[in-house]
Amino acid sequence: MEELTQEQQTAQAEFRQISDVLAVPTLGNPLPGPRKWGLPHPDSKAFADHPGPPKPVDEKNVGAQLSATISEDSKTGEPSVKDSPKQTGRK
Amino acid sequence: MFRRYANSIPEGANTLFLEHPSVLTALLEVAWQSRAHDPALSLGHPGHRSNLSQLPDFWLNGLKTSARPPISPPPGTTSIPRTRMAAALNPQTGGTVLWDHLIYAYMIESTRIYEIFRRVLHEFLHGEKLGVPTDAAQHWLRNTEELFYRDPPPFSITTITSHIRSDLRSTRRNAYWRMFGMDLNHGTDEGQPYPYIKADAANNEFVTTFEELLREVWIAIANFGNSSGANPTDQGKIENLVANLQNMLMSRRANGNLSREEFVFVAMMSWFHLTVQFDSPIIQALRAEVTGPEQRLFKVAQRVGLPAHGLSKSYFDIADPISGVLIDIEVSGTGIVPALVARVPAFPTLTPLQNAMNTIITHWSIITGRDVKAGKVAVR
Repeated sequence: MEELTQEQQTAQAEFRQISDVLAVPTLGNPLPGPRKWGLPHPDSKAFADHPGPPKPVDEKNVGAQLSATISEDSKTGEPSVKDSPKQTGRK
Repeated sequence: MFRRYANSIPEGANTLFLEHPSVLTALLEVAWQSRAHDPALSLGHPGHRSNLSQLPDFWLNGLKTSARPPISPPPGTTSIPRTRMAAALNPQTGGTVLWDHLIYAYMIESTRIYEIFRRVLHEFLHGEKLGVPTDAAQHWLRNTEELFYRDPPPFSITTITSHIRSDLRSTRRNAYWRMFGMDLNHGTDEGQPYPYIKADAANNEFVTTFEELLREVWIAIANFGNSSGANPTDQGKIENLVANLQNMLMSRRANGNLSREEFVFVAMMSWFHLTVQFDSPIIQALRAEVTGPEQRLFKVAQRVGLPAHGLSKSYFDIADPISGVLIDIEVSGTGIVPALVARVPAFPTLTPLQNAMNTIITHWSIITGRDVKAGKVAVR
């Protein structure tokens, strides 16, 4: 095995320094030293206003709930939300 | 660059995505201000990339202090070894930032990530085909549109569009062509080549030279433990190839040429890379939560009907090591060769540089379809 020469030491130190400055965390592997941040895991708060499954119906007050949640479609006969008809670049 | 910033602020990337676009532009301005800078090095060297200035202090200081939390540059190295970059990367003198090499932007963009998220924005901003974006995703959409799909604000270091070069996609391709003699693997959405100006002064030999270097380094790595028999490692050839690469890369960077473009493109791609590195707000809004950046990208691509590159995993995996190695070649030239070819006692297996090269060799072979490890067949 070769000895660690001055040239090798310098070459190693330089690459280490560049890598250290460029270092970014990967999932589950935070950076060492003062840079403690690691990639966050899924944030449940981001789902808070996402349209999820329908809420359970309150059996005691079904009529009021139904009238409150009646859709725009059934009122006007037209869908309330329309996507752009343009389908660019897709077949 | 954004990945580095996400390192240093509380709550990391999720907070970053919630910032105001002006704050994000100021972050880049501050990063440019804190770039590695040693006037003793030649202009264009990684430790002295450019002499162009950021926004004037009276303007930038106001932005830095008014942001919450106030903007500070990302931290640099924890130790300052005696290297060629020591004077340039010195937190005491303000130099803490080194941005990735342009090859990083090339590799990330090759996954088609920019075009895929362009479709994501298109769909979210024109209708509800993909659903209604969540609150956090609204921030991401606003920031992404303002930062990367419109002209940057005037006077900023990020302002690289004008009447002369109005198309950022063409400008990026032009830079890739000049530095590496390579075009992206995808053209327009219609499958046509993307129009851009191919400069005459381009590193057309980059791919063949770099590939030859990988081949020789693989021979060195495969034989560095030989205790008997011949060792086919050709240190002289490796030195020659590294010197060639250093010369061609630094020729394109003469007097700081392309530094600003590199900074902007690397920052841009790091934003998208960070977006798919974890289940970020837009990934959640698109219901694309899976494991691994390439799988998230595939899922998003599927949602918008524009396929990502099938080898995206290799592009993501190669981007960081190849960036570090090319910067190291620009800094040290043939100075890196001893660490490439020799077995160093402190590292019983591979050194960090050899490890990086090994990763590059693996993924370069996958991406190009040319097995670097197989060696050349000599015709006699």
